[in-house]
Amino acid sequence: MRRKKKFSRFTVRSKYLFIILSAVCVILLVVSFRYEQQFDSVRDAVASVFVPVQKGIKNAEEFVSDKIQYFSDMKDLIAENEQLKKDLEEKTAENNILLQEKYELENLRELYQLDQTYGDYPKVAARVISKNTTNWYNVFLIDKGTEDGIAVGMNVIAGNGLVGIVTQAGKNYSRVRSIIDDDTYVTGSFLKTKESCMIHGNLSLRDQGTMEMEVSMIDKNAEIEPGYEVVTSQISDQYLPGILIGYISEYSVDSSNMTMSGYIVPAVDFSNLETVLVITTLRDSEELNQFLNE
Amino acid sequence: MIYLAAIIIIFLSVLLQSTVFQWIPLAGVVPNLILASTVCMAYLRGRRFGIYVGFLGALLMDILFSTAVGLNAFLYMLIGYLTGFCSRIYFKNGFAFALTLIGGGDLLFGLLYYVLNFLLRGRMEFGFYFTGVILPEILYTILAGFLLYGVINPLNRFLLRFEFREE
Repeated sequence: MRRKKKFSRFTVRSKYLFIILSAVCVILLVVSFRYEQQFDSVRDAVASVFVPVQKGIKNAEEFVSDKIQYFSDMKDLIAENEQLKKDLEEKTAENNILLQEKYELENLRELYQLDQTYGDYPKVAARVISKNTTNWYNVFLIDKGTEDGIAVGMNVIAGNGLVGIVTQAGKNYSRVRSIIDDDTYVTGSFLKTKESCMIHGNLSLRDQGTMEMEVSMIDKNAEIEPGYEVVTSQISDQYLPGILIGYISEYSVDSSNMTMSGYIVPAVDFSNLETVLVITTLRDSEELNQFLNE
Repeated sequence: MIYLAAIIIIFLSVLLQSTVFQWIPLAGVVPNLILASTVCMAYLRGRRFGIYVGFLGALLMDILFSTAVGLNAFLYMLIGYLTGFCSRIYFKNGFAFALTLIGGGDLLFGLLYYVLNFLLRGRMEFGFYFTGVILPEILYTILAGFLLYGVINPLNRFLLRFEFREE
């Protein structure tokens, strides 16, 4: 009896509770949009609880999968080792020829003055520790943050292709939105013809297993062919120029008869993203303005 | 006691969903564990609990992963509130009924989420989104809900006995 009384004193009817919390949601929506900077401290607080645990789980997963791999690989490795020893001799000879060709290639590259210089940017390696919990967007957390020199707007690459952009940086973690996310737009250009285009992620393409992206706004007279490389554009204000995005797979002229659109196969395998590199150089806005004024 | 248990369940489901379940996707989707626990708690404990669990779980998820904080919290809370009505007809062996509720909740969530986030941006191919995302997610969530309900239901009954003894 005593308990029942105590309970009723604190009770708000669930209908009103629902209405009150709905209002809280609306307020949160407005606050998180209007005061994004200030809201980061709230995000940091929540992340400081979750991120260490997520890192721990990630470590445990790596440990377990390593051990499993270790035992299952043992037998295979011995057999493989024999085979590899044989192969090695052949390859050494082959390598010598290739080395010569490499010098040639470097010389030719210098002659062509290809501006794929993003290999020289300073980078920080980071692990993907957790992914967005819904199936609708492609956002993930990495285990490096402002302490490691990461800031909002930095480009994220893996292998030699563009993965995404840092949308929020906490002390020891950052949030990355990938380029195949349904909400992302990237301005690109064709490496060979310098024609510009607009690339955007589309969930309906991603889930068909092809992981392609849509490309649009290509000039109708652009001389392109399937397989041409698409890199980030000089006129992008978020992405460093010259980072490989992917290869155009098919395209057709739009109904407006002014532009072409099609699909791009990304250079990065998004289905299996474990480690990424964050380029710690930000897009220089002065450089961009200079380029646009030319 | 039950509040503590609820908080632990929320934390665990957010953690598991963002890490462990991301490595074992089926047909490219992961189960909606937070929604499943919201519906379970709402079914076992009523509307109030549905609101609390849905709100808190989705809020944590929003804060960690999305730019707009509050939208998911509202949707999950709505589902918790609606499924909470069914706690009046709770029966002891309502396993199948609970799973149906989880499936229904996920369907409602998928539809609302599509309308609010995709249809409003002009993504019209509803057929694809339904068969490609919503439907697999429902099936996988029901599968996960099977395990989840198997844990939460006995726990709830244990706690109920505990609470009665306290009185």
